[in-house]
Amino acid sequence: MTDDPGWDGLTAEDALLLSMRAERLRALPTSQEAEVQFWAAEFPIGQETFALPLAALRGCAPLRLVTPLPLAPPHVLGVARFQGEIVTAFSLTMLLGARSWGADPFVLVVVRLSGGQTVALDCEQVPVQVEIPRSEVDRQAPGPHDLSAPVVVPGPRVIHLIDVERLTRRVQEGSGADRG
Amino acid sequence: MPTEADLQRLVSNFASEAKALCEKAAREVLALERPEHAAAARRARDDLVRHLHTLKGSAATLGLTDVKEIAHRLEALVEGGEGPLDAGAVDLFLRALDSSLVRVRAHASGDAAALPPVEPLLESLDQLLSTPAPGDADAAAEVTPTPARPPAGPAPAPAVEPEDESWRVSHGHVASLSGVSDRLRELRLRVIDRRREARVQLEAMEVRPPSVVEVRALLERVESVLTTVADDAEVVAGDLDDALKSISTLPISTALETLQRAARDAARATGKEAQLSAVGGELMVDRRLLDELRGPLIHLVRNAVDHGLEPPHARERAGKARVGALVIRAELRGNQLTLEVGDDGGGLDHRAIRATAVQRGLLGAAEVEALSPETLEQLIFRPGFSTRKDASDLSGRGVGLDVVATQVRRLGGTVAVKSVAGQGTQIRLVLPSRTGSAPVLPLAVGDALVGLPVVSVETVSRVQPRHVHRTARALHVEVEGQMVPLQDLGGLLKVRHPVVLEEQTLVVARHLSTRFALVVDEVREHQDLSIRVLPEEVRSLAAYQGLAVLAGGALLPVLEPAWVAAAVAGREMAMPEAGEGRALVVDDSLTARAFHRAILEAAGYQVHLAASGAQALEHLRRARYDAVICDLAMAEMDGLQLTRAVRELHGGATVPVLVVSAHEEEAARARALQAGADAFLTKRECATGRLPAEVAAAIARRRGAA
Repeated sequence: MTDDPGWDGLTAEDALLLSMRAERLRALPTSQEAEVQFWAAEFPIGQETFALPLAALRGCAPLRLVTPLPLAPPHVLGVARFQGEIVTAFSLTMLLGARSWGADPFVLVVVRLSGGQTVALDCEQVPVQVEIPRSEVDRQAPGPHDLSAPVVVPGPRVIHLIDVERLTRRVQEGSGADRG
Repeated sequence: MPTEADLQRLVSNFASEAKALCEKAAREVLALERPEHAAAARRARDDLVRHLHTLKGSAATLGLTDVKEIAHRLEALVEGGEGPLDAGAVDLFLRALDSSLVRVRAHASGDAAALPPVEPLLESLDQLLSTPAPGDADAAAEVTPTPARPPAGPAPAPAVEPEDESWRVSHGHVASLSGVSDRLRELRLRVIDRRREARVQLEAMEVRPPSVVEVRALLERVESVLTTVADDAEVVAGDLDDALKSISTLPISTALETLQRAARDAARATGKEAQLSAVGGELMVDRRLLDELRGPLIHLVRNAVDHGLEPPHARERAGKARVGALVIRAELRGNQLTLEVGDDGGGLDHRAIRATAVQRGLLGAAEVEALSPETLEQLIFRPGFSTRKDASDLSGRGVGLDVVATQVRRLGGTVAVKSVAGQGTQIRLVLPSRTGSAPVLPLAVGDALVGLPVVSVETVSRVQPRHVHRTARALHVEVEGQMVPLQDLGGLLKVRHPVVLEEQTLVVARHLSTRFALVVDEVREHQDLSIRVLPEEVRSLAAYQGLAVLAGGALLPVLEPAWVAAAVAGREMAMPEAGEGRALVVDDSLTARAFHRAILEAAGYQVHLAASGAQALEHLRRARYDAVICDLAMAEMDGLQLTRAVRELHGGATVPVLVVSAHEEEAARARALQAGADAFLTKRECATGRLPAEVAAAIARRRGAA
């Protein structure tokens, strides 16, 4: 595989990831209509697209509503009011381990975590609804240290689907970026 | 004729009344056991008879014969008597009151068939009735072997009662809420009237267009009407708040009464003697909070008697009073409730705690030896931690304190223990009380606005340089002849470099006996604000007692005075000359600031943040920075303008400036370098971790050039 000039400059890990994606694309069912869908909300972070299960989403709010909290850890942007509740706003980029960065975020996505608590995450754009084939969701699992798993949606495009359980744990533990 | 369903509803309603009556009766019984003087005993006896009589009457009306019979006998026992009740009679009284309550609840829930027969209890009471009057102490002593004394084993401790989800509300409170409702309707009618007038005016305008003068007059009238309505609405809202507050709060003494009972029962069960006193019982707090705290407080009181107090003979040997003292102290500071349960027992046994920690595998022998006394004492809140070798019926094997800690943390509070060997132990719970408001003083420092509870504030004035004294590593300010430690609040909060400037404002405050002084940029008008608990994810930040919601919905972090006092006393004032590894991040994006800060702090830099060019220049006037990292595209003053302004500052010509941009065009890079920047990075490059290396390189180049 490394002899292929198309793979020049890629690490072995990236090359493996790309070949896996290609394999999944080839294996996509021909009849999309028959596929059970999983509903998610997608948004970009830098060059990549991420998604959160729609069921976990409670709403959106402008990022300017966040009040910074001096002395809070860096991955905590501050606190904000959402529907009468006070929620902690986190930097999703930092929670994800700072993989990439595009435009400055301007929106807060409010999410209900698996423990029941509500938190807000910053986002570069207002998320839009996306349908992911259920089989794709079931087939993928995040790597041991990842918050998300790559899934392929019709297009075809790759979306990193965030695992809410792991997001909950990361919120409780602090971000990878904080730990340096 | 009431139907069966009507009767059942009446019985259900009676359950909460019976609870209140039994609690009051129990309080009087306890007062009768150890009255302060003869008049107090007489008063307690009269009140007890009255409560029992009401209980008997209500039970009879509802056909609860068993409860009526118990109340009747109890009433007969105290009526006409004199003096104190002996311990055996008190035991039986309390058992009978508990039984009455259990029975009323069973009748209310339709479970009366499952109740044990009432006759054995009635026989015990009859036996006590047939003995000489309970007021005669000698005679009462003879009664003790009778069934009046509870069966073998400890006296039944009061159970933590099931949550009563309903509240009894007085007629006065209902009337007050009705009044508010009427006034709201009045207000609505006035608005409707004004709307009708507006409609008439609009129709007239269709016939004849108004002149500018007429429109102006009309708008002035509308403004005046809206102002009046807004003022009236504010008053009504205030009254509504007051009415709700009076319904949703209770005096702490209502919980203390149960604790008196818990202390007595625990002492009886362990053969110890205890006297519980309370300070601050009159304070009104959120009744839901009080309900949630009832269980933990009972645990703490039982634990204090069982594990804290020594047996009477041991106390006498140690030169202490035979009767152990338990003190419950309640204090409300702002919206923060502090409850302390203290005893004058032997204190915590540090050696036993160390041994238990090692034995249970919580810590290694070396680790446990290295712990400070304070950290060691906190181990008692670990699940299942107990230094007792035998399980006690009362407190088990230490199960309870972890439950207390968990419950208190769930309520957004903290728990701490302080102990002195041979002198006693104090367990302190600090909880946010969600009801009501407290005056808060908003303080501005740099871009940050935080609040300080007014209750802590002594004075606000201008900094007078002649009163500021600098020692080797700290600052003090002279206040009324006393040297008070001084800090810049912005420095404490790490939002800027701490420098005390003449034009700033000085806030002198106090926490308990500790005075401290803060330098701030501005003090705003104080406001009555409701302080809410921090969200769970940031609750461990000791600097804040909560968050207040300002008009318009913005949030105000409210400082914890205890933290500020400790921080001012414990922190050395950094000198402005020091500049090693200090970076200033300027970006109008909250996320970008947070991100750069995380990366640079991880690389060892001390980072301050500014959300605008103007704030950045303010930081640079206060202190020297080793590097400035600024965003290119910012509102008002962009990164290029800021770079040029930095170069104009005294000493700014040699400060490394790195411009960061989301855009990747070469033109942007060229413009930044032309404006005097040392380097240009895209945010994508920052995300790959290049920022610290670029900052270090820029600093090195500047130093090399110097």
